[in-house]
Amino acid sequence: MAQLVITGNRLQDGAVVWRGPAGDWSQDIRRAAILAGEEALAESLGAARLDEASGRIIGVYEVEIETQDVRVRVVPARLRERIRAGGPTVSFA
Amino acid sequence: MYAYDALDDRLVRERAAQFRGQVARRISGALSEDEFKPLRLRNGLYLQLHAYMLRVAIPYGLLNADQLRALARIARRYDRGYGHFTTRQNIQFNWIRLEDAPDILEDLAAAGMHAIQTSGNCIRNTTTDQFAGVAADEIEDPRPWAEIIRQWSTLHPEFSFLPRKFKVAISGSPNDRAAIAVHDIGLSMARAPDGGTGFRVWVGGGLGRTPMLAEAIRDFLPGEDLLSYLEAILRVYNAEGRRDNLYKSRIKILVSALGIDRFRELVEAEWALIRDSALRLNEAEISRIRAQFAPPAYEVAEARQFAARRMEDTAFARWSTANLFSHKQPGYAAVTVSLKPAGGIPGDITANQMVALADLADEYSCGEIRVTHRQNLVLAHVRQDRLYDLWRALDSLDLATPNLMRVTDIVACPGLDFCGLATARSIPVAQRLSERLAEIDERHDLGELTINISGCINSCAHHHVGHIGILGLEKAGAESYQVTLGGSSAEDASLGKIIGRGFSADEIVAAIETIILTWLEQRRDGERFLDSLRRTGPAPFREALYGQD
Ligand code: SF4
Repeated sequence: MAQLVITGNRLQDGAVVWRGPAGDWSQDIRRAAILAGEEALAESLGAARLDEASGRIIGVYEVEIETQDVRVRVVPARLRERIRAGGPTVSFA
Repeated sequence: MYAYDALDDRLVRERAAQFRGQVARRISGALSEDEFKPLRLRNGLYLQLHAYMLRVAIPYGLLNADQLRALARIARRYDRGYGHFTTRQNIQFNWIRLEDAPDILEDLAAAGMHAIQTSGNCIRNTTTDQFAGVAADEIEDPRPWAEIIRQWSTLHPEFSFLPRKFKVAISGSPNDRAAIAVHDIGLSMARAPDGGTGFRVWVGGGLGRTPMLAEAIRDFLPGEDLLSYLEAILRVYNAEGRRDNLYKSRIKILVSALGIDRFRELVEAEWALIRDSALRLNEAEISRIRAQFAPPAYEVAEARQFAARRMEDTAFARWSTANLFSHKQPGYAAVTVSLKPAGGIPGDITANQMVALADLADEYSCGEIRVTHRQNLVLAHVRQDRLYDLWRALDSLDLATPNLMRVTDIVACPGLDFCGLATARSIPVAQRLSERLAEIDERHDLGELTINISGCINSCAHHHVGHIGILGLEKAGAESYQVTLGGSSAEDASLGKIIGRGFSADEIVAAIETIILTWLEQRRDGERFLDSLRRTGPAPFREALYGQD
């Protein structure tokens, strides 16, 4: 079954953040709580939406991750989310 | 060049102060994101993949040296030391913090700049020919008219909630360097039989999901009637344009649904009601604005030294062949400063380069810089006998790539590396292509050949009108690049046609190389890629790319 993490952007600076097990938000996807099962997702998303409502975080949603090696590295399935997690793939200026 | 008057100044300062209050209320939680988002978008502040992005307006792409320095300060203080010029002749900063945005708007206001109407369903920045006022082929300098449109459209109360965004472009010359055929309204300066000037008016062009070329709605519009006629078009669009379906909301859909004749009838009927209103421009007002775009005091310059330098230095000769545009003032040239070094990010410029370029503009080009809709910059008034010194200075800043309108002068949007709407990356494709194609161009002298790469169907990089267009899509979770051939945004405007199935990120560079090598086999003396393609049709390219499959 799919494994998921929850993400959003931080209000103050727009930075990509991932929701941790204690309801904390980190810029490091390795600190994200990995959710399996609809119940865990619903509970965690519900809590994340409260942070959204309070204005700290914008645009909360869940992201599917690749299931191998989750203990070693957390890699989103979609390229868009991999780029959000790792930053632009090009070096600039 | 045009200087903001007290009214403009007050407006942008008040807007900055107003936004400071809005941001404070958002951060305190008094405003929800749903309430705040339209307010921040009205000030050019988007949320992208990694941060906020601020889009700053550069009216018709014209900057003075101090404004470029102000942009450099913003890049250093609030961003990561660089900015990105767009196909709308604006600049974007990719790494902005919400809490800094009010200070940035204040800094912009102090430099006579702002971010108003760089987003939202309103009239956006009017774009024009980067060689306006210096091109020998122009009927009239279009910038005073672009400025008149700016003043009329800024915070126009009736057109702040159009069905969708609205873009106008003006060309002063029959040789279209402003891509008017792909704008909601395109204006081409024209001469009346009595010698007065005005416009040929086009309507309903646009790219995106449903690309269309504009249709002629009026063969001649006297200059004094410009605003009333634009207002009539906008009114018809505002009333009749679709608001129920985002994909059908641009004026092009309305024009094609009604047919140009019916649309014209509606516009003419509306125009009859308002033509003799306060919108009629009087000669004194037009002259007042024209005077602000008066040519600088040119000196007597001679060309002998320039010719001699070209003989002596082949690198300079190559650059001056590629990047100079002939100036109507004898002894002068307009210089394109390429922001497309091989392997670079199209349109990106560092703060250090901005400051250095501002100094060069002061020294060599009357303190003026222009942004082109192909993401380059122009120093429009350079004495030919000083070109060699300028070139050396630009070269030392990595701003002298000799590639204007050539295969490595690639137009690319930010794509999936930055943009929240993207379906694939565009910058890395541009980088790999420019590295590979620089070498082929060097060997074969490919001449004029444009490549445009968009990271999604919104087509910000105008891929439909690149001679070769590349559109990045997501297919089965992977990037897939669709190639179109035969587009042009010039006076012979055409939309590119899809050549066949798409290519993966690994295949796309080789596919473009195959297209170019196939063309070289077909090319007749001096032909541009586009000319050969129009002669042969797509069959040889299809065969080379896909064989019999
Ligand atoms: S074309 Fe798409 S990906 Fe590129 S900048 Fe526009 S919206 Fe973003």
